[in-house]
Amino acid sequence: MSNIDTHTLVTQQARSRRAPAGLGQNLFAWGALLNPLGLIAVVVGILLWQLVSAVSGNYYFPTASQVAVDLGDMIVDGTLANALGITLGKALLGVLIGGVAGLLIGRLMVVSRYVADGLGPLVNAVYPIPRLALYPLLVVAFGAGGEATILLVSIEAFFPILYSTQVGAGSLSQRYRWLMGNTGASYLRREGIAMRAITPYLVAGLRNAVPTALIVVVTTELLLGSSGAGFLARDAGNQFLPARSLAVVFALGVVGVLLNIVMRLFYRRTQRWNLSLQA
Amino acid sequence: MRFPVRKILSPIVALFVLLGLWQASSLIWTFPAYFYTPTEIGSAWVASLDANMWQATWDTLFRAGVGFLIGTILALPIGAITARLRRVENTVEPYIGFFYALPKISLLPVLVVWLGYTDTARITMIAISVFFPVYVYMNAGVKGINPDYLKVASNLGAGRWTTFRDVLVPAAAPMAMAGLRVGLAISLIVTFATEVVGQSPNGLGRIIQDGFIAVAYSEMYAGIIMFALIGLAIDLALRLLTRNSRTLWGEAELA
Repeated sequence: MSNIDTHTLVTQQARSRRAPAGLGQNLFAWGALLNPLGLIAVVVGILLWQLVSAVSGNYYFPTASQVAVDLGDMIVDGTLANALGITLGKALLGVLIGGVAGLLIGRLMVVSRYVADGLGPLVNAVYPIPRLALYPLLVVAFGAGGEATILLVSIEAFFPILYSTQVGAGSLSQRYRWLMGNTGASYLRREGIAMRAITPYLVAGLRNAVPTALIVVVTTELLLGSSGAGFLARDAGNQFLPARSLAVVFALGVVGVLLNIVMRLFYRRTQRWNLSLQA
Repeated sequence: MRFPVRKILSPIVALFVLLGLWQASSLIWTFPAYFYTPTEIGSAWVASLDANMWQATWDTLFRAGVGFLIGTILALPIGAITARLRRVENTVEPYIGFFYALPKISLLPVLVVWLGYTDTARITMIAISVFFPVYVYMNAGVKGINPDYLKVASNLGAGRWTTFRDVLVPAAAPMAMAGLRVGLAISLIVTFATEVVGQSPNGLGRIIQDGFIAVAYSEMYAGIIMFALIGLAIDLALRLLTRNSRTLWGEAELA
């Protein structure tokens, strides 16, 4: 999912060259934290929440401090770290598998016109299908362990990586191709340079794939299974512990923000590898 | 212009080769019961087309549609306002950033505690999920408007409302449409999630989940195909709509 940024920005970029890669993921960088108005809004918001829920005295509407206490408990007894580790592990493994597949097939589609003409429209046609609906079927096939989830994440990550590989390979400017031809560069050397040209785009694709992977994993954990952050949120909800459930939501939000920041750094760091003519 | 025969034929050939290999391999190997061949999937889907299935499709579309509309109706004006008013944006920025990065589906257990296993909870969840991406696109779209347009409008004595109607809306429209496309795709996926996690009594998610519980694979496949067809139909419709809107607003490229 998009995401669930399902319609990834890389595709947008590939198709229309309008939306900048990573749109919206520049949100909540350090700037948002350092902006005084925002800081005041957060403090006021939390105080207001605390006040309203304390006055209402409704158990199902826990105060901010209750959520903080539950969060602290889960951090101290290691439940949270354990659950988040499982969730992130599945997400990253899925991205890795889907990413490698997307990279290989994407590269193949750039190299061979037959593969591109044959598979390209099929991939585009399959892309808008909501793949999450496949999850129950994958569970039947692979069991309720993490395998079905990892496979679903791989399928989800496949598309942005495939698209960004194609765009990235296209960014290698003709000068480099001529240069490689004239100097008689070996196959491996040429592939290496192509990889270098692809990398900045690959990272742009990853910026879409990673948050999507997190969403997919959490959703599948909400549906089934007995581990991970999604399970923790569902379990707390089933036991009518909304404060605990909200604490998990908060932790997931922090993880999402941190992932965005890491991906953003990674993105910035690799942009200089760009081998297009503008670079 | 030469008719691009190869461009059209290649994917059709590739499709038939892939499906044919899939179908043919069932003659060589025995697939496990849950692994259907293309013809089995097709006939399972055709066999499922009764009043029940259409009702479920309608229920799913209804939820997705209402959630999408609520999320969009909130996101478009708010995204435009924050793009124009720096202070308002600064104020809401931490919240937007946090919820944008959050896997919003994790809110569902809490929503269910508050609102019960109801359509209110499900549709709220869908609306929340749709809101953030549409907001981000709309915000970027309005921010990306060429400032010269606004200066020209101001020089010509355009008031706030005229500027909004004749400059802001058309100039931000392509980006807004891109946001709507993302939002619509998300609404469908989240609808499935809310129908299954939120224990919906009806809808396509229910059909797939029932098939899963009852080990009735045909039902599962039929539900999945229906979901896929909805996704494809929506994408196609939006593509046509977006194509129109670009010419309608006369703005091919965003500044």
